[in-house]
Formats: sequence, structure tokens, C-alpha cells
Amino acid sequence: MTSIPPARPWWQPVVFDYGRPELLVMRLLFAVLTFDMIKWKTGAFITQKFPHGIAHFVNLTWLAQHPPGLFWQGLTVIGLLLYVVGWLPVLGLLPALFFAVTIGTLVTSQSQNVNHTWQLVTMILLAQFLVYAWPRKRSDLLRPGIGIHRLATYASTVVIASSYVVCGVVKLANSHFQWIQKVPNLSLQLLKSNWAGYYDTLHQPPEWLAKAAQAIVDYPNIARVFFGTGLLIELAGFVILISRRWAFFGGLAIIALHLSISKVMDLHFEYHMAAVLIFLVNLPGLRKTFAPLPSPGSAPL
Amino acid sequence: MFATLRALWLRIPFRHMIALVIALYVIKEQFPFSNFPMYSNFDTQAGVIFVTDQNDHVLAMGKVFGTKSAQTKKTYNGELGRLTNPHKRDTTEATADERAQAGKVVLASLVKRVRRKEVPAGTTALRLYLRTFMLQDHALSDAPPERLAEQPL
Repeated sequence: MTSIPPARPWWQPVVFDYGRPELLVMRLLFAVLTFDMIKWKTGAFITQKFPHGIAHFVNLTWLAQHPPGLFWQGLTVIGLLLYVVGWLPVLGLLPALFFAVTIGTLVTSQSQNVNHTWQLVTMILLAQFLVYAWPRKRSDLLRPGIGIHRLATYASTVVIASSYVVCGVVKLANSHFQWIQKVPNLSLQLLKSNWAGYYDTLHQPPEWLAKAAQAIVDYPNIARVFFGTGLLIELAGFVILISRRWAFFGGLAIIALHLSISKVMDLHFEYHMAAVLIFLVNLPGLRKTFAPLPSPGSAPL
Repeated sequence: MFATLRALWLRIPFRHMIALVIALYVIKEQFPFSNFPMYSNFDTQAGVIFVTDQNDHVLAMGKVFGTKSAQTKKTYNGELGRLTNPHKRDTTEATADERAQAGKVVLASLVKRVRRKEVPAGTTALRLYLRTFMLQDHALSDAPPERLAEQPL
């Protein structure tokens, strides 16, 4: 694969040799994704009955009384612009990180079973912030070199890989390694999520819903192969760290997984797909990803 | 000692990822961290929550309350857990009375956030229902929805 020095085993990943233009596009797209992800309309979240994260120690309901308005959103945009151009990124990411964590914590503290819309992008934001906040040289704080930007992107990739792998591991652990056996029960989740969509919007569930749910029960082994492939993609999430090509194909597999979940379960993970598209598929870097010779810029960690 | 530990650390395959996987697995749901446990275990029944008017006409939860059925179900499960946890019972073992109590709390919270303009004319009360799908002996079934609560509007 392109970015692994010959002597280095594939299970010892290296920071990929992203070029400056690729990194700039990644930062720009990630900044847009981050701002869009933050749930700025916080007025409805007047309690935190089921505290998660820092809500165990801090009352965040002030965000419901004082939703961050144009000033704070403007400050976040200015910070993200600094991050995009690569000046003082640690300071630039701070407002976005603050609002992503506090608002995300308040929103997920509304119920015991939390919604998983915001965690992945917020963890990537936190990982990048930590990389920029822990510079190798003092000058890196003000204007980080390409090595730091590459490291921040690598940290994002590690967060993505870890999130999918742990998701697969938890499926095995929580089901006592019976997940594949229990796949026919997924037919109920199929009915539940599609009917929940109906009760949200009054748009009739798809006509194929009842037949598809019954087919999962009638042909359990075919269903096991179908849904088992999803579990395999999650458990094999670590491959995206091997090289740029593995990241590309692994990213496509993850997006295909989410698109099929969107279609079948009516559950949409747009922010996950966008993050995967930015950091793994990395369209601006395709030429480099499929370049015939190993790139020389890779640096071992 | 430190050098030995460092050498061991450097030998671990995908070490940063492995460390983070272990951390996420242990930390579980503490935002922004998560072990992403959705659909990690399936029961033989699954419920969905919805709201109707006093004549059992379904209301669009997104438009009328600015929330979703799935989110409301999570709140309902949380309330039900508060009632059953002290007795160390699972929410699936809740009594009809406990389900009604939890439903009442959830419906009251929905009424607080109702968007009056979006409520169909003539609506005088709201009802909260739980619809349960079941899988038994390779057969899917859909019992009549259970009315959990009703509140005048």
C-alpha cells in the first residue's frame, strides 16, 4: 500500500502523507460539518433528568434559558475560520468544542438511552483540539507545521476506527456473542423504526416494510449474512488505519453500511457519513491515494 | 522500567486505536464519549410511542411537538426505569399502573412543548399510546396500542 514504508508491519500504522491542499479542504469541510452539527436551538432542553458526562457535575440548563445567539455563533465561525487557515487552531477550535460538548451533553441528558447523532464528530473535534494543544514546538501553537496537521487528521481517523470497532465489540458483548443468532429479532426494530418515522411525520411507511420484516423471520440465515456483513464492517474498522487505500475502501464500506441502515431502518447518520467522507474517502486526495509508488512523506509515530 | 513499558506499548498493534476502544468500552455513555450500544441486543418485543387527539387521530410529533417518537420513547423508558429500578425490576416487567404513571409524566412534558399553531383545530385533549410489536414462534404480531395517558389541552 502507498504510505507504509516496506519495513513497517501493516499493524503498526503511520501518519498518512496528506498534502497541504488536502488538509486545507479537510479542515474547511470539517469546520462546516462541526458548525452544522451543533444543535444551536437549545430552548426545549429545560431539564437534565438523566445526566451524562459533565452534566454529572455542572448544571447546563442555562443553555435552555439563554440559547447561544448570533454573537456566540459568530464567534464560533471566526474560531473555525482561524482553524481552517491554520492560525492558532487551538484557540480557534475552543468555542466550537465548548458548544459541541455542552450542548451535546445537555441534549443527551434528556433520557437514559441517548441519541448517537453528535458523539463521533464531537470526539473528532476533541481529538484535534488535543493534538493542536500539545504542540511539539512552541511555534506550532501559533502556526502548526504540516506534521501537526497530519497528526490531527490521523487522530480523527483513530477516533473513527475506534468508534466502529467498539460498536461491534459492544454488540458481541451485550448479546453474549449471540448477536448473529438473534438477527431475526431485528425484524421488530425494522417495524419499530419505520413506524416511529410515520408517527413523526405522518408519511406512510414503505409498502415493502411488512414483507421485509417477515422475510427476516422466514429466511434468518440470509438475514444473518446481510446484517452480519454490517457487524463485520464495524469490527474490521481498524483497517482504515493501514493506508490511504484501506481508508478509502473502508470509508466506502462504512458509508454503504449507513446508507443501507438509512434505507432499511429509517435511521440516518448523516454526520457520521460526512466525517467518513471527509477523512477517509478524501476525494481531493484520490490521485495521491492511488499513486503507484509509496509516498515518501509518511512518518512513523 | 519506563523504557520497557514504552517498548511494550510500541509493539501493540494499532495501539492508539486499541487504547481508545478500551477507554470507550469502559467509559460507556458519557458525552462526548460513547460505546455506541445501539442495536447491540434485541428483545423479542419492540415498542413505539405516538400521540393522538381525543378521537384517536394521530398527530405528527415532529410538527406538533418538535420532537420525535424515538426520543419520546427514550424519555418514557427513562421514566419507567425510575419506577421499576428501586424494586430491581426490568422495565419490561412494569405493571400497567407503572406504565400509566410514566406515560403521564411524558405526556405532560410533551404538552409543555406543544406548538399551538400546529395543533389541528378542534383538538381538546391529547392521548399517549404505546404500540408493541412482538416476535413469538417465528410469527410477528402487533397488539392493539395501549393508551398510557390522556391530558386535556
